[in-house]
Amino acid sequence: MAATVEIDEENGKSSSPALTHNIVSSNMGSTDSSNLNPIDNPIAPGANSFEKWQLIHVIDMGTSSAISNLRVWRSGSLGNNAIHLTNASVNSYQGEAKYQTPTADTSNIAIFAMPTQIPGSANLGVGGSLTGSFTKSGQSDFLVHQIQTTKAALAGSTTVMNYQYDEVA
Amino acid sequence: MMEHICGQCGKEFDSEPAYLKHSCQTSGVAPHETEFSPPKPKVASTLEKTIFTAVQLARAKKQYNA
Repeated sequence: MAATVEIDEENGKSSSPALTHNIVSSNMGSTDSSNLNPIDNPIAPGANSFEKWQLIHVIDMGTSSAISNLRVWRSGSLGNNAIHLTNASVNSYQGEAKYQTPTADTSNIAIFAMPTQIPGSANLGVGGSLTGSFTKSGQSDFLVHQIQTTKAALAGSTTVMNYQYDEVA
Repeated sequence: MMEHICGQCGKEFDSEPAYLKHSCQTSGVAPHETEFSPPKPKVASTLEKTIFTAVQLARAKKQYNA
């Protein structure tokens, strides 16, 4: 039996957060909310989205012995006047980010360009390390990401977030 | 205390175990089906038993003939 894994998102103040399990979407917008409606909460040109604080949650290992090599990336183009930043990095990973109240100010945690193709190796850690792995249920480090725009940004980009891991039987 | 929300059905829970055990109306399953059944020992089918018996008989016959 394969492991049971879901993507979760944490929102709200760091003193009273809420964790949404098994999110339906990773829509980015002008509010700190999971599964948000981007039409109701658009990112104004020149502004940033609220940060997303997401994680990979292993609910049950099933008959697998290990889960490792967590890789996240985006498929598709944002357009010329928007950038997508993250804390995920193959070469410069800063370790486990402790949850902070998501902000629409320029993130000081999401500072690397989000990969637009699958990274060659892990870029999100488990237990603070890119070589970390799950051998029982648990949560990955937080994936923090944010979209930043200029005033020339145009509406209409749709892209896809990818989350991948290796599962050892 | 952290609030836990099911992203599929929107129900809110006081704890992660409560979330994991709930029966989600949208997905139709509990996030964590605790009833994991280990693999059952293989039971030979009637055909396998027949073949096994035939092989045993053939071997016994061969020994007798030898």
